Order: sequence, then C-alpha cells, then structure tokens
Amino acid sequence: MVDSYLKQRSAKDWKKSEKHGAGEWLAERWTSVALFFLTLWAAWSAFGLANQGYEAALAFVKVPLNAGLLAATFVITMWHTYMGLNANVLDYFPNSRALRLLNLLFCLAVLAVALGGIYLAFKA
Amino acid sequence: MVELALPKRSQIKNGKRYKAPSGSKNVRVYKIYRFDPDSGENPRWDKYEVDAKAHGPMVLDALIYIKNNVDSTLSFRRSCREGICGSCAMNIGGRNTLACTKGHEEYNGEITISPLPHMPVVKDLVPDLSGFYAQYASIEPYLQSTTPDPDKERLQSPANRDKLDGLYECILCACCSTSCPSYWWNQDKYLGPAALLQAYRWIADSRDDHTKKRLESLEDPFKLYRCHTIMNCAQVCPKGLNPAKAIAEIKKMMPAK
Repeated sequence: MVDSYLKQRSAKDWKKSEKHGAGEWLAERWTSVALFFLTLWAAWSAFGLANQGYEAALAFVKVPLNAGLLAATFVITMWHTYMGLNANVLDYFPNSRALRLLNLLFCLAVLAVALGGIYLAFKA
Repeated sequence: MVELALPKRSQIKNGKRYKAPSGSKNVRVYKIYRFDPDSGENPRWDKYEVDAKAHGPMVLDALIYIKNNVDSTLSFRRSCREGICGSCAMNIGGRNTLACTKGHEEYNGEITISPLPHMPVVKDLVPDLSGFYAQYASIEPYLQSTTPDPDKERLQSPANRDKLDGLYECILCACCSTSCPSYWWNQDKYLGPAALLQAYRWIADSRDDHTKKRLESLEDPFKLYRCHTIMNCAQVCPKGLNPAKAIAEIKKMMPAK
C-alpha cells in the first residue's frame, strides 16, 4: 500500500480556521482600485515633468497635495506589493516564516527610502 | 509545498509494448501509466495496441478491453460507466476527465492515460483520495438548522431552489481539485475546488441556517484563500460546473458575515 501522508487524516483533525483572510482579501481589492487612479495620476504628473529639469520636479513635490498623493502612492504600492509577495510565499513556501519576515522588511525598507526622499524634497 | 525535485523512484521509464493481434484494423495505441509501489520499481509507460472495433466508443471501454483481453494486471477504478459515480476520473490526453464519458475518437494519435495528477498513487490509475474525502467531510456536507424538524419536508421557494443549480450536481470525481496548482502545492491545508464548491452548496441553501459558522470555519489564508482563480477546475469539470465561481461567491460573502 502506498505511503500516503494524507491517508490517516480525518475531517476532525483537518486544519482549523485561522479566522482571518477576508480583511486581506478586501485590502487587495481596495488597494488595486486606489492604485489604478494613483498610478494614472503619477504617470500624468511624470509626463508633465518630463524634460522640465530638477528644479521643476522639486517644486512639484513641494506642493502639499502632490507630496501627499506621492506618499499615498508609495504606501499603497508597497502595501499591495507586500500582500502579493506574501501570496507567493504562502503558495510555494507555506511554512517559511523567514521568507514572510524578509518580504515585510524588504517592503518596509523600500517604503522608508521613498517616504524619506519625499520628506526631504518637501522640506528642501 | 512546491517540490523542486522529483520524489525518489518517481521518474517514469519506458515499459512494455503490447502488439495488436495480426489482422487488426483501426488500431489505436494507449500509453498508460503503470506503477506498483510494492514492487520497488519506478513507474513506467506501457503501450497497448488495441483494435478500436473490438470495444465500445469510450476510453473506459478500451481500458476494460485491455484488462479483460490483454493485461489483467492493469488497475483502474470504474463503476457506473455513465458519468454519475466519478470513479473513473483520470488524466486522459493531458486533461482530467471521466474515462466513461470521453470517446476515444475525440483524441488524435496515441492516447496517454495517467492517474489524477499530484496525488499519491495506490496502483496504476488508482490515486489515493483519502485526503480529498477528509476535506469533503471537514466542510460538514449535510443540512444543519436550529429550527425544529417540521412534520413534513423543509420547504424551499423555487427561487431559493434555483440557487443550488450548478452546485448539487457535483459527483466528487476530484477532476477539479487535482487539476488545480494551488491544490498540488498545498493539499494538506487548502480545501480545493471540490470541497469548496460543496461548502458553498450548503452556504447557499436557504434551509441551512449555519451560514455564519460555515463561513467562519472557512476564513483562513490556506483553506479558502489559496484559490487564485486559475480556473482549471471549471475547464476540466466533466459535469460542466464552475467551482471557481462558487469560491468567488464565498469570498464575496466572507467580509460581511
């Protein structure tokens, strides 16, 4: 008889619910919707700044609305990226806490650099 | 979990070729996966040349012909031979289906037959489905209600009965679950399309009032949310059902539960 790791499993000892997942699912969808509009805005703004030089870009970031939208774009992008990469980790390495932590640190590091850059440009 | 290397003794070798009797016309070749874990040998592809005129129109007819007349050691499950028991689910021509409802004339050239993918093999075309059945049992596939039993049957409006169409027809053949990459990688945690379709069948039933409890037991990154809407399940279902849609309905209901 084949040595099956599932053979002895019964319904009683099947995985219990972790009682979360719906919130992440909603967040994936709402961040997608937000990113659709924010990316359009970012692309439109970048198109307007093309060939305008460093000073024009700095002036753009100094406008509080632009700085806020830019920060929101990065926050939501990295949040969405974190959820997407986490889905990959859970698919292929479901038991790896290290990869999940690495993913979180990577996304936080990118976000910190981006927000730091926006802050410095805003204050410059 | 994803496997980056083949398990030991799983590489498939070339096996025997069984020639058709001389004078056979309309010969078709069946390339069939053979594996006996007790033998200690690797799996192999055996090839059977069969006169298509000697048996009925379905692939299952050819398998029964081979077992009765060519090689009695070939193992496969079959029962109703009319697409209602789900026993003869296997991978034919690279796609999960029922051997009893698939005509051999639907395939060109050599017909490759292997067991349902990524399941432990008991022998030849017989997969071990005990985990699959445990998943089904875990969703508690029976009516649960806190209202006292009525004297007669529990009534349901035609509109509410219509909500079960496309759900109750499932025959649990496992074609959908074993075609799903998420199920391949995480079948010890992810319930898979078949069990989730049946979970929704009871969630959608107006006579069952344990909806909240059922949804709570499914809210889990692995049990439910490993479905990425790949849609292999809907493509291969021999009954034409759409488990991916049922899973999407569960996901939509989940935040508001």
